[in-house]
Amino acid sequence: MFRVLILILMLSAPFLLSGQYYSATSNALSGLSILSESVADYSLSPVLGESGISSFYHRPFNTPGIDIFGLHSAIAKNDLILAVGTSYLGHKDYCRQNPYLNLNWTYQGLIVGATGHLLYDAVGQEDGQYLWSWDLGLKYTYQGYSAQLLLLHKDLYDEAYQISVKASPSRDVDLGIGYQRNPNMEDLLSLGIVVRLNDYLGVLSSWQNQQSRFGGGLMLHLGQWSIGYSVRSHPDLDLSHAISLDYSW
Amino acid sequence: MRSPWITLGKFCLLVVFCLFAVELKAEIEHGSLSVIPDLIYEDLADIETTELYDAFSGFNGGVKLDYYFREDPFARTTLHLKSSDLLLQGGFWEQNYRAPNFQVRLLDSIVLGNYRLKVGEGLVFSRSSGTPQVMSPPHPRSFSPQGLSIDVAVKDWHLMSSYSRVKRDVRISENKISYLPKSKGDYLGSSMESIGSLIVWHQQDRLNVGALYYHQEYDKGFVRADQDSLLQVVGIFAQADTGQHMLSLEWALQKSGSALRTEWGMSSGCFQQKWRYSYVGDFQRPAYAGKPLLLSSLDERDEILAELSFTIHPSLVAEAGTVQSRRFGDLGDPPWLSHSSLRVRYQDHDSRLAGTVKLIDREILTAVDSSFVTSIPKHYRFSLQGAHRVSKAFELDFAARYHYQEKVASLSSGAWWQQGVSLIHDIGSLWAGLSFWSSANYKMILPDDSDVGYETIGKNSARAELRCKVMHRSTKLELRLRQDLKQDKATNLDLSLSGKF
Repeated sequence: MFRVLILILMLSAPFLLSGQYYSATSNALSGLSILSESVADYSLSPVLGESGISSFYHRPFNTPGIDIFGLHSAIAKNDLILAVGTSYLGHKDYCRQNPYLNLNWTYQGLIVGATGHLLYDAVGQEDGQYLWSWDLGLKYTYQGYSAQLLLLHKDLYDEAYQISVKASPSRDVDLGIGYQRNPNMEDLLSLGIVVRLNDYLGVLSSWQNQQSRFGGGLMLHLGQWSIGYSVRSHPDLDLSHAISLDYSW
Repeated sequence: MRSPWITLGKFCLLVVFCLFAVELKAEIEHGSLSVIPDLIYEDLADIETTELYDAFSGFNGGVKLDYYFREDPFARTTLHLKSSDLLLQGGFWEQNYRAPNFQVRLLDSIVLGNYRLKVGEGLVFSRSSGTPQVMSPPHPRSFSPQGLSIDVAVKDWHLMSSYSRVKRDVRISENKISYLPKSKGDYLGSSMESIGSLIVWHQQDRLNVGALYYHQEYDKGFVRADQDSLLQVVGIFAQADTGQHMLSLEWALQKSGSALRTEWGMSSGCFQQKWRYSYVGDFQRPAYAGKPLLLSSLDERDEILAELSFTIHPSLVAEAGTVQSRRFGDLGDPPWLSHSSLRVRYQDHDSRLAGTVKLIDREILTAVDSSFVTSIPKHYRFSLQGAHRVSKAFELDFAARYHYQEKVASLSSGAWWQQGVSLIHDIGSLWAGLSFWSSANYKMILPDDSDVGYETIGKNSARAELRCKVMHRSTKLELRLRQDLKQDKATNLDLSLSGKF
């Protein structure tokens, strides 16, 4: 019964379903992609500017029977980066996928990018529904500061406009703040921080005004490999857990 | 009634156009264009078998053992043995039934056993890209003529005769043949099939011209009134190849009607093109003929195919193709059905990317208020494939498809997504990947490396896959493991061992 309630909640919360906080980094950072270095977050931001491969497993609200898998990769060719990936939510009575294709171009500190999503959801084994949507983004980085403008989920119910900035007061600390305007839902304000404790270990944390409130995680760096684990709170439900494995180049 | 003069006029125009084009100075040899591969998936198993025998052709011996672990497992053995005067080729299929196809070739001119003939443009036998040939046996599950074929040559003249008599599976309805299956299986019914042919042709360096006679007989009649148990066909064929241009033609006549197929291919610098015109009148398709019309074989039609390829940059190629088909006999203007494709390919030293868009017309008959309404719903397909070599030993790849059809009848949309990682070494490779698809009640056909050359997927599911290849000299071991993550959580294992000596 509890699982059914969770499912109803997920079905009735488009923002949650879009998704986007599935990777270990986005789960920890409340979707503040300006602080992320994981290619899994191309599903959130078309101007990430990273290349590599990432996979994750996410368990929303620690609910048995609902598993979310993701596989993402990005390759760089000169100033262009091509990223592809998908997330897959599997439940015996519900299925949701979010495959996307991203292209972003870097010129000095400026990144311009676009992502096309083909969202699919189906209840049971019935014929599902396909929805096309688009993300557009612009990001500028100068020394330790970045600013990012995003148009997310164009043509979907949860279409949103996001502005975020990042500052690095020291080499090992990144601070970020983001504001997201959602015409059909409540607006979001997010704060996040990434602290690199040493060459191997990093700590990520965030707060958001709506829904899940607090996020936190650890990132273990082993050369080009990274292993991440994060949790995210919800006022009424159990913690959401995410674990990811990244390889960057 | 359609005037034959119109067909003749079209053909003359095409010949004049082709002769004009031959006068153009071309620079490089024409390559093979095939922008419309989705239409021939039924032949993929036989194409894969031909490629396997071709790979063995330079060796005295070759063997390939395949085992497919499924809910209903099956195995396949392929053998190739060659001496100076003798060649033995064959395959054996073992499941809940056994299906062999073997062939012995003596002095390269006498063939005994199962064979395939390639002649002309494929109106009577399979399509040949050159002179008539007796091919290796097909996939063990495919039906083929079984008997004797003899090919003799005197100077530039060749004579090929063949005779086949085999009791083959058919689907029976009211003691008549309702369907001639292409693959062996449990069809309960059978019929004795007798096929004989005589082919004569004259071959020069760049030109071959010939004629054929074909006889086909079954010991049972057909359910369809327009199909006869006794079929006789006469035909002519010709092919000219100048190196830059290729012209070919086949015309076949039987008691009920005629068929024509002609093609022109050309290459010039970075540009290639292929044009084909096919007309199939009230013409009964012989049992082992090629597919004369790509879009439909059900009624009287003509079809025009055009394929163009342009190399924009050494690493960037754009290709476009269209098939337009029209049915005769309608009271009003017959609708044109088309299958059009646009493909762009990019490749450099470490990356490759290909994107394809296809637009497909299909006539769908829908029951509305005790009558039937035909419609051609909008149907397009989009596919994307890419790979990038990250380092000498590490490669990433992905492939995706999206099929959309207006929901007029039961068909709807489907999508498929696959991502993988390869580790590559001198002795072999290891590939691991995930695929997701959401096609619900839509059956999507995907080309793959399996025994039949394609896979049909439906429902919503996810799958993990592992492929491993190990090579040592001329020996190769391949393993493919697929684990469904949803549905029935089925595990499929393909194991293949091949060696050449």
